[in-house]
Amino acid sequence: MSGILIETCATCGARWYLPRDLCPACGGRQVSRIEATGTGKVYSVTTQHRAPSRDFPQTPPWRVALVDLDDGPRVMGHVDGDAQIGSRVRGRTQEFGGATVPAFTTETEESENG
Amino acid sequence: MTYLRAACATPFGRIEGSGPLTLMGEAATRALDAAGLVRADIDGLICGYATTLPHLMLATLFAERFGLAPAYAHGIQMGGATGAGMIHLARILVASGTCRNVLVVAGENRLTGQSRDASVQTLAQVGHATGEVPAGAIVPAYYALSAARYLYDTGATERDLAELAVLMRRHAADTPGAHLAGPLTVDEILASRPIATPLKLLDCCPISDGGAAVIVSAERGEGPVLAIAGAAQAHTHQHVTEAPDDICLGARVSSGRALAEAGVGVADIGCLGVYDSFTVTLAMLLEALGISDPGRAGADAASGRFDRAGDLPLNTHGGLLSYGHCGVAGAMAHVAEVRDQMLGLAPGRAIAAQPHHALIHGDGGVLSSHVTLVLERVS
Repeated sequence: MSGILIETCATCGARWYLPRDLCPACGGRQVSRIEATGTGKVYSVTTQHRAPSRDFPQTPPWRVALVDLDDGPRVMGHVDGDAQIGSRVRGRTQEFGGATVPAFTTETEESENG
Repeated sequence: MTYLRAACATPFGRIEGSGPLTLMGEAATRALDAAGLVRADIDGLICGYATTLPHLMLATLFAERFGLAPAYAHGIQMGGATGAGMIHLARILVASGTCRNVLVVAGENRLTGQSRDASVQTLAQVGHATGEVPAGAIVPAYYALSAARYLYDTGATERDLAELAVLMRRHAADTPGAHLAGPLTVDEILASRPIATPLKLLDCCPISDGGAAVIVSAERGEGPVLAIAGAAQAHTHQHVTEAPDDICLGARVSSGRALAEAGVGVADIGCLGVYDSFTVTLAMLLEALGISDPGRAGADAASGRFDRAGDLPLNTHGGLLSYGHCGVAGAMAHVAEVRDQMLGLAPGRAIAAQPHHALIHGDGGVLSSHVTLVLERVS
């Protein structure tokens, strides 16, 4: 599995990424965390050349993407240098600057088939 | 009727020794003078926030310092939409009879009052603390994600985006008090260092010091005046991760409501003040507002449509991209410029004709919060 956690509502089945204690769709309070398969498609991507601060522990550039997971939600994470809008990607979690961040690698057609 | 009795901006840029309260005071003094009012006439006070002075009671703090004793006062926070949002609220206060004269004021030494790092870090909190910020993303990256998708969907190019920055710089060159007034070309923008692709340094507004103030009044005062004929908001999301695919949906909704209230259509608008934190912000908003066809905002700018002599003058002071961006007061300068142009108070940079209607649009967050104002010239 990917280690990427999403949330789901037991009442209406809605799924989302940014954590909250109630379902934004139906207001239900039975929210649980599930692990996403991690596969999905790049909605948008940018190569960021500026760090958030001078003392940030990582040196830019890095690539930030919005990925539409096959499991439903859109998540923000890092992608490799091959990823473009529309690319199929596979994600896991990775340490970055002291935090755990979703990180995706681009699937080649070969690996998708195999 | 509710009137936009005054709207004034201070010069923007590097103002050594300035602070939020001094900049607010300078702007408020200008607005009172423009309105022909005195401090005792002000019975309502709404203040924007200042990242260099994160005070619990900024409106009261300012009222005490400036010598006001309002019947109604507080601050509000809506990111880049705050300026237009405060004017919206002032109109509600006047229309409800709660206040007669509401002073709306903001000012911040965002350039000299903190390090650039501190500013970038504060603004990064627009992102989600656990879902976005850990990826190291900064505000330009959130907008860059929108920009990349916008270019992909519409076929517009980075060159098209650059045309909007060139236009803003050309306008700023003729505007006293503009932060950045030197000449700027498309090629210079394309060659500027990348911040978050496709956005480069010169696609981004500067960080400035400055202040601005507006007085919204139940009384029109003498001579021609602007009425606030329509005002509306829409809030679709906070974070880019949860934005709708039509990320400017809020702009469509709020402008539709504001125009409907004013009883006019986009075709009736003759002057524009549109939020322009990045070139792509301006492009996407112009298209969402129904002013440019999808992907065509840059081409419209290049064609001269938004020039002072064009049929739809836009941000004729230079916008956030060149007049400057000092936080809340940044987008209030758009209101000051539109008012000056509508009333013929911009000698040396006047637009070709004074239209009957103008539109102001503010955006906060990542195209998250939208406020539209429709202004009408009343003879």
